Amino acid sequence: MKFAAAGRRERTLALDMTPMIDIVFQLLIFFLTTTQLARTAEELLELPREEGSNEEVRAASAFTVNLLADGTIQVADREVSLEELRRLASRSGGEAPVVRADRAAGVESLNALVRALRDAGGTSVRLAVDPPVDRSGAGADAP
Amino acid sequence: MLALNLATMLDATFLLLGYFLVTAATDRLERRLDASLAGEGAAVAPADLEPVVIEVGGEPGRPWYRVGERAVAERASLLALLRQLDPRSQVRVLASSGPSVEAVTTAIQIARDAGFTEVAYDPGS
Repeated sequence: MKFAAAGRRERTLALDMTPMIDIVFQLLIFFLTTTQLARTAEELLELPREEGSNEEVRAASAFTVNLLADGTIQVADREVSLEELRRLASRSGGEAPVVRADRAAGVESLNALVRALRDAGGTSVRLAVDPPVDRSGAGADAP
Repeated sequence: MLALNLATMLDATFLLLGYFLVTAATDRLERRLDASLAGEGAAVAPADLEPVVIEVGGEPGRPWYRVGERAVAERASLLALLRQLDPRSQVRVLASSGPSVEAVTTAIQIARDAGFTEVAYDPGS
């Protein structure tokens, strides 16, 4: 009996969690960073509430222009002039630019922006809209 | 006896859970309204059909829409008006100074809802 008691050793399995936690945090930082980078082109704007086209949701576009409520034009989180916008648009390729305009922005600012895109060789634009959640209001009068 | 300290892994898991919950709540889906640009490169309407011109005016929050001689202020009225026209025509949306961007997108959206496939936006010159 004494032999049996002496031969039983208490064994513990030591799992080193440190590398796994390292990897988890690396992944976390990676996703945080890439998400932030992906959103640099998109300002927080109050987009017009319209249904838009059904076939596409958040498609990546080569060129996104933000028009703020005060008429400021931003590209990739940077304020640009109309002349600079024209230059950037002419280098962006043939894909239709996405115009994310605040719903409260004046139409004069939108016209100037779109004219710059047209002068840069653009033939169409894609206006970003925010689809209403409740479709029961479709067909209601404009506010 | 297997002694696993799960505290750190749970910390990381809950951190990830919290992050995805927060981002999912703020991530709104956007859609696009396509419009060709009038003037250069706009699609050509059939020769026998006159383009339908929607003029947008008014002021922010109180826009009006003029099609030919008729001016309407309500969304439903504009939709009804456009539905009387041939949807093969090209629609040109013009906006003078005064209204906000939302009035322009409303005009484009209603033209599409009325069945028009060729919708152009004319920013003027």
